[in-house]
Amino acid sequence: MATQLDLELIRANLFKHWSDSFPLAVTTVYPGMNVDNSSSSEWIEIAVENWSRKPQRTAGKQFLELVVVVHCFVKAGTDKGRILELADATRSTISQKTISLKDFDLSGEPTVGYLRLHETETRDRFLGLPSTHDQTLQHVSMSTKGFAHSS
Amino acid sequence: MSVTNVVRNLRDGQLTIKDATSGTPQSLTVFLDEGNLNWSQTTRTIVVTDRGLLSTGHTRKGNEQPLKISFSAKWTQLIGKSNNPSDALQLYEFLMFLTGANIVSTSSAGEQETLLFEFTITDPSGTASEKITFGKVFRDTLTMSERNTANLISFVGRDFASSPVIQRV
Repeated sequence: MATQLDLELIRANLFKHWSDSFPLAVTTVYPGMNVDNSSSSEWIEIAVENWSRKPQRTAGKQFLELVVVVHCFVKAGTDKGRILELADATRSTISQKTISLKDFDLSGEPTVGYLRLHETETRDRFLGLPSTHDQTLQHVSMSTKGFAHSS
Repeated sequence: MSVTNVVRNLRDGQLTIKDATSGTPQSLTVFLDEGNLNWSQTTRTIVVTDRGLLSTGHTRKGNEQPLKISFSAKWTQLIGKSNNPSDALQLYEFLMFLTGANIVSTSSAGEQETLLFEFTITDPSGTASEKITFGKVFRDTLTMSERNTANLISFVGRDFASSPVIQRV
């Protein structure tokens, strides 16, 4: 019988990978966190935006498609290229990565599946901001499709 | 035993492949299949007309035809046991009878190598599950292809029988 892949298990492993691997010292805001960015010049937000299951056998290994979305924010300053440094660091952390899914609730934290991420699509949102928003905030959104499967 | 009117679909199926190893056959349940198992049973009929007329003609049974069967599955390792006896048997090496995996054909010596396919369909209501057995399946074509999400093994073959054996389980 297929191992049930909990959304929380997948997300926890993804965020742990991000926390362990992201190379820059930038605050990451995870879903549910309340962060005061008034004194921050840059930050990153990460979430899994979409989960879906294609038709598959009930007794087979579970396949779950998902989309990981990362938003990079930099308050405009003298370094206009900083936003793309965050974007490049994001790509190096999640694009085409394979992440073992460990069950942290079990002794020995066994691997119960894998998360395979595809290529990252990057969109610069800066020019699209309407005048009612803070025009001095640079924003790049990055989405990475992938799928998780039980082993 | 009763019957149920719940429509079956790909979610209810499970394919297990077995060989003829004496004692306990080697067995592999295909957990990564695409849910596209397909088989077709062909019946040949000899039609004899009476000077072009069917009304006074007759039919005869034609030669039996082996049924055709196909399925595809995502692949992980291609070889396991044939590379190292302590590794698990993998689908590709099983279908290909690779040396080292010690696979025993379900047909007699000298004949084409065949395997037993057991396709179980679980009744969603839990009452009347069925097992469909193809006893001597031989390979016609094995197509290996790359895909974005998962590479695929596509098997096309025939069972040396005109129809499978269907039983309640």
